[in-house]
Amino acid sequence: MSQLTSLPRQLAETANIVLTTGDAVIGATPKDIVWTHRKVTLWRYRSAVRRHPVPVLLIFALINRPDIFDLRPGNSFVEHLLEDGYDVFLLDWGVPDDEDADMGLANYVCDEIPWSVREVLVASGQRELSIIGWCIGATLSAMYATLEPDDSPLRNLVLLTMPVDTGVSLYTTWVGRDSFDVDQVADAFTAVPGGLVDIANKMMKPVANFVTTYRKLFDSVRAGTANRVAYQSMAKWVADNPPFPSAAYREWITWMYKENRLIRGLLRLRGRRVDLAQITANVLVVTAGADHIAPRHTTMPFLDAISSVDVSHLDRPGGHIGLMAGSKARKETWPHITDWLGQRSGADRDTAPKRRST
Amino acid sequence: MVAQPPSEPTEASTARAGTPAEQIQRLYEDAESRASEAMEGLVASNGFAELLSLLTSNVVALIKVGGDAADTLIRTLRLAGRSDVARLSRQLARTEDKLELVLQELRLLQDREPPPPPRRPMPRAKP
Repeated sequence: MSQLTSLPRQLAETANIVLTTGDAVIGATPKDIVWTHRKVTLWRYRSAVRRHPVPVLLIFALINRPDIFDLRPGNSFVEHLLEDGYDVFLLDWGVPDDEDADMGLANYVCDEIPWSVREVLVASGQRELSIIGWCIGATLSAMYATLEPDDSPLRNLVLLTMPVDTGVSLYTTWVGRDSFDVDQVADAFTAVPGGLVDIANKMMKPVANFVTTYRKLFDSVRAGTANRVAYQSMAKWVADNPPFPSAAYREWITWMYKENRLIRGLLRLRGRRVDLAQITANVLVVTAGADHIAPRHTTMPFLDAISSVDVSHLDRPGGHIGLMAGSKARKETWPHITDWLGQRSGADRDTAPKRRST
Repeated sequence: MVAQPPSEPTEASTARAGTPAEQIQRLYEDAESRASEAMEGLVASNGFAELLSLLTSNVVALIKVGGDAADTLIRTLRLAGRSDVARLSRQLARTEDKLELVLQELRLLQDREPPPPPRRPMPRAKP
């Protein structure tokens, strides 16, 4: 009987948590603007205990906001890096709109990333940097790393849940087929609405995303264990989907999923071949065991394609996002990344270990 | 053949079964888990992918028709529409591209130019 009487309050509380999600504070760590171009902004987070000379540049995907790197106080990868003594920069793609329809992959890989790298080096006063890319951001970072192999300022490249060889994947089943007319979508929208991309992502695990999430929230409210801040910060980030510039969307779907050009060495940006064998930086590849967006097998061929001597692979439990932003990430993933980076971020480049490890 | 009387539930089996509410909860979670697996199998099929392609095409076409109609209406009313705002924004973006190119030239010049010599302190004027 008491369960029945408390049901209205539990339902109301669950609804309140869902309805006030927009009020959650995410990306709260103080930061400065270093450089802007169009919608792109380069942010800098300053560490009070800086001890690693080589700065870190964070690059996220085009289909979500990069706040996931700095989700909430107490559960922020940026905070973790700052506490570990890194000078941290974040490349924020911003929220593209109709006027950015002409932004293609080449604009991101050949312009925005190199320009932001230049500004990171100027601002930090260093000659080299580390890049941590995640999801599409990891693929774009890897493409960038192939373009200027000689005299590159890139010392370390950390790639998180990165799609590379998309030959067999759910995305390819959906959008790689001839009946999926990518040109129709890209022509109809100058910027493909983020909501559409989000629905497609959620459709990959429909019950888990549309039912289980809310049922688990209700269960935790009933049990009195609901963590309002944790739920809302993640839910707010998940729902914040910037539009995908149509040129980049067309190229991403066609080149990566319909033609699988990157791993086959057929991708060209502004006439230059994107050859993964040109990558010589120290590389750490992180895959997630339960990743359904960029499954492990779509990343692994990358390790055989590059020329780097110092290559490490870390496979962690968790999903595409949970790997880095889940409740266990702070203990199970972040320390591995900062340990790996720490060994390779000294003033002298030659101190980095030279090996391949998994 | 003699029918066996139903065995009395032991304490352990009662504890395992839990209250009726807990049993319902478990049954629901089990059903949800099975539905989840089934749906993931369904969306991974070629049939679903084909259907999704067609649905996407139809939705995109409808949105385009609606957008075109709205644009025509707004233009007829001699109001600035989304496309007009986008055109102006594109011009601003191009200007910003040019400024970025100037910045690049500046950075190149800064790299080439040797650092300025340290300034000598100005001699004090004699009283």
